[in-house]
Amino acid sequence: MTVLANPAEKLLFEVSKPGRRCLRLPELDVPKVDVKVALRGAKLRAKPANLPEVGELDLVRHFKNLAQKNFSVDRNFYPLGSCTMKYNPKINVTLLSLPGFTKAHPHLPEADLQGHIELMVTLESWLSEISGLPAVTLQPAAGAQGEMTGLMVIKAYFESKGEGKTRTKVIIPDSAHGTNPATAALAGFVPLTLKSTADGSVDLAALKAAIGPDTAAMMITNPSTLGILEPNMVEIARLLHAAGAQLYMDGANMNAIQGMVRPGDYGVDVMHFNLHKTYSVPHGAGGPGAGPIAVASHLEPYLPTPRPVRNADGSYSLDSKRPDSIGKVRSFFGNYGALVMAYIYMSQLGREGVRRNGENAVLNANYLRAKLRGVYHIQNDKACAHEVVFTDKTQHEQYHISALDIAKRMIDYGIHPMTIYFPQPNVVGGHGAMMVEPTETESKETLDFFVEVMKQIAQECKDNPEIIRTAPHTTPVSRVDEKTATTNPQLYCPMCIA
Amino acid sequence: MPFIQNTEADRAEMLKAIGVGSIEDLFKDIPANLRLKMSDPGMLKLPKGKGELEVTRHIQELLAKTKNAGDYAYFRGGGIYNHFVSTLIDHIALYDGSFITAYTPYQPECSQGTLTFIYEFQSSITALTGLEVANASMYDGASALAEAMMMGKHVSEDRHRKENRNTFVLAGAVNPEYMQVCKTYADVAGIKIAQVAPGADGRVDGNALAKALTRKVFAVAVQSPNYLGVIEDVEAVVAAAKENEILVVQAVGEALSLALLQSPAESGVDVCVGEGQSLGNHQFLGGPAFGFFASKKEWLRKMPGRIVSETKDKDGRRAFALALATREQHIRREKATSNICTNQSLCALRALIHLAAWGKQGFVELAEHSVAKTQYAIQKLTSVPGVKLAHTGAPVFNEFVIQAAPGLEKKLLKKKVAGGLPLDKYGKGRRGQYLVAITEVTTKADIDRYAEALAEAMKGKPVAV
Amino acid sequence: MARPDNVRYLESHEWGRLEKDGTIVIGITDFAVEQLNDLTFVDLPEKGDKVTKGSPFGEIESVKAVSDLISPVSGKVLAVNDTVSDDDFSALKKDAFGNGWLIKIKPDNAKELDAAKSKADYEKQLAEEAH
Repeated sequence: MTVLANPAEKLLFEVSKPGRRCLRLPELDVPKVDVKVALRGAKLRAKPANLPEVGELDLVRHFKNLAQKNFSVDRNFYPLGSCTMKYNPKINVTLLSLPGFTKAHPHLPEADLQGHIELMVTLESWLSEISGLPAVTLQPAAGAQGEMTGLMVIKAYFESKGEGKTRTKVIIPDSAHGTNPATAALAGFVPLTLKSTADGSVDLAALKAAIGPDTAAMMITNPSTLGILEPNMVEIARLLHAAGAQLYMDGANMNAIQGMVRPGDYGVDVMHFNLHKTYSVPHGAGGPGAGPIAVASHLEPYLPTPRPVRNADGSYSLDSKRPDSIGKVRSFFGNYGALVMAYIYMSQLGREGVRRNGENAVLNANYLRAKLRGVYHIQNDKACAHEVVFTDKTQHEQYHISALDIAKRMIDYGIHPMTIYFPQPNVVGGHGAMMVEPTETESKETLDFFVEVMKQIAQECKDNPEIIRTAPHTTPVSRVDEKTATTNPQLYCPMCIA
Repeated sequence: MPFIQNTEADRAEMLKAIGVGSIEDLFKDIPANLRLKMSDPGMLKLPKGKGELEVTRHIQELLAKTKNAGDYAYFRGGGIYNHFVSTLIDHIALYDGSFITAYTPYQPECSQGTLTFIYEFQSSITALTGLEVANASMYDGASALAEAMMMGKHVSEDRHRKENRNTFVLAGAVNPEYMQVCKTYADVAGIKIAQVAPGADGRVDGNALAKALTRKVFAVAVQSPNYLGVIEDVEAVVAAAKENEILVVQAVGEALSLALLQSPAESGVDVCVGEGQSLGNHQFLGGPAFGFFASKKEWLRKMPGRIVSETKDKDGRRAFALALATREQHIRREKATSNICTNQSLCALRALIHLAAWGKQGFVELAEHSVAKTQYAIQKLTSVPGVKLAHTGAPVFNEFVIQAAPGLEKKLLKKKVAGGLPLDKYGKGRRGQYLVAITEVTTKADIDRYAEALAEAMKGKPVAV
Repeated sequence: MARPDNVRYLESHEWGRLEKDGTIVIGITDFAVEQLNDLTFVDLPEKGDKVTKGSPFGEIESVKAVSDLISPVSGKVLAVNDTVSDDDFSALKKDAFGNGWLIKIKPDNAKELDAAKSKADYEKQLAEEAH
């Protein structure tokens, strides 16, 4: 049989045909100019950029066809650990599409931005209340940039105290996400890895030994990437403060503890939120997100500018006159559109909703832990927070089936794979981690379905291991050769520079 | 409870399965004295939750306290532009959940939709810049430039191993938002930033640049069109940087300019970064949009950000996957050259739809309309007594600076004209200067109204010579 | 593969062999090659570069992992095995202790190599790690 090529399956560049287009401009209402004359003195490009030329229907079909090749929260259970793939309410994008937001230009005069500055001031106050820390900046564009901003603030603080040259080290537990050490290094610190205890918490003796006069800060993820609450937060904060150092909390997993405990009450000095995780800004296939940070009062002078402020007369303004500020980490006000969505979401949650979200996120994760215990190995089988970390120990030892194989098989059941091989094997007994985060928005029925699927996969490992090793079988493409993508990268469609 | 589907009965059943008496039992690792008591109204002081109707009303009330570019004859740019955004884009990227509610495409088999559009986006950026390697996008133009600076440093550490080059040169009029972000990153990285001021024509001063480009410099950045709207001679910067093997970065603040101007590859730059908001992204007070980042193939392994490559599946079919992940922080940890974990995929998708919907010809027409309207606006505004171009002798694309008189802003706003952005704070000697931006959205009537209101406002002001 | 007795091993899976001419040849073990699986990239020093005991002299990457290459001794690089490259890891895969060697150095003090593990100790380490 001949394979018939549906044009909707081709790349836009491949279906391009001269003369096709979707959009047209109004007739020019000013005198036409010769570009060569108008731009005299400028070098012009030899020929137009080879962008695709397509009609509107084919363009729409192209993207609708791609849409079908994606798993998404709207269509699939998506228990991707540490990513908090919760439901994204539709009202968020509907309201964001109002011209008051879409045409809000950053260089409008302050008087025209009152409602926007008010929104930012209010959002800051909510995040402040939840973190238990008095000051917040919304500028960082993502969690990683929040981390960077937090460490920059800490650095500026030590510099102002004349300790900038001596406090050079940042302590980071070995279970941390790679972003933590990467950020610390790029912020000009030396990252120091701290080995965790067997149950995945901070080893206090090791921490004591690691802390010294050269310690600037410790970065701790709580709940940790192992899905557990750090039991010794107060003591950790005390040890650091006694040595004059700061405690940074990576709030990637804040979804579990929002409304239950305020990190500031532990003694945390700086933390970041991932609004795209905890406060339902859609992940957007990889972004945009937002990574605000909250800080203790002694760090407030160093936050990025401009700071949105409420004046005594009830008006709002943007304060850029802050001599100790680290400056700007992103242009204008950060990902304001993402902030708006978080604001709308939090307005709907309210006080009760914030608490309920955390409770149900933890309940759902523990329910999966209880239901799949014995089917998949759990390195630390104790109450978990937002996620439960299984491993491939049983399946690997008995049937040579890895976490990767199991993840791929889940796709055949319409479930997005969990996070695999993170945390790193050294903190989960050398096995392949499978990190499952159901979030609070999933129903018990969906969780039960997931449990049945995972049991069936475990059974298949025994009865029909080949079907697992060659999975997925139901997707538009089978297992993808990621090695060739790296050793022989082809990063653009050749037609784009034809 | 909003968005939670577990009923009380579900919860009871689940707790039983777990083997605990209450949800709070799952939080025992938090000291009891730190757990918030919901019965105490002084704890967790947040407002009561609102339903969809209420929250819609509330947002409308907030927006009633704002004005937007659509409320004026609008002439402000400076990094974010009031362009037309096709409804096609919102339909595909915003209202269809397939892309917006997906995550980073770590599992290629169920993310071919995302991986394919990123590959097509990279191809579009390669089409625009001529550079062979484009990444999946960055936060914004400003942080893309800061990342290019960090990359330049790493490239130099390899290329000039014993030289310890530590200076980054910002040549000419660079967007102050970009400069500030670079400075913040440079401060912690121990990098020295040297600025070369623009000359009288608004372009980089060639003599000053030649002096600045010593063997202490690892990279030089030039923005074109620059912050003053002036088109730079990028080739001249490349030539000046050659002798000392300095990496050349071109920053692009208005991506539409790439439709007409010599491409970064033709100019010979190593890296081109820029702000992509102009390509189908809403203004949103400056974000989210995206930064683009393209480079010569030589520097691929030092590049920040996600990259997608074409490859095959095990049955030989075409497939796409993330490539070169070992550059990234989640694997390289403290030795990574960037800490960025994500891109701005959805904004990149918007750009791709925008570029494909306008297409090869349409995209050029968009730029040509801007140029024609800009020429008309220059002629109209400079015919107002007392108003002239601040920089002459060098071409402009869709922004230009007028020298008028200080303090005109409010008078114009009253006439529903958001005139050019006052440049008083941008640098010395810029009192009474305004940065005027034009797009395809600007009409002749808008420009005429601006000229009229400007003439009115200028009455009685000293005439500039 | 039988691991040779005449080389010393590091916990981080490099090996070093003292040659008759007093130079030391360094490579990575068959175990490391197997663990890294899909090798994609190797970054080795240049002739004349200095290497330091216990410090990285290069990097080796697979699709989703990157590992430092640690030197068992300090010294100066005399030769680099150019048959091991990004395009060709076959020597490393087939013969990690022979044709798959990575660098040859002139040690400052060849005795530093004695601090590394014997084959028996290294294999004991591997057995422990497997549990």
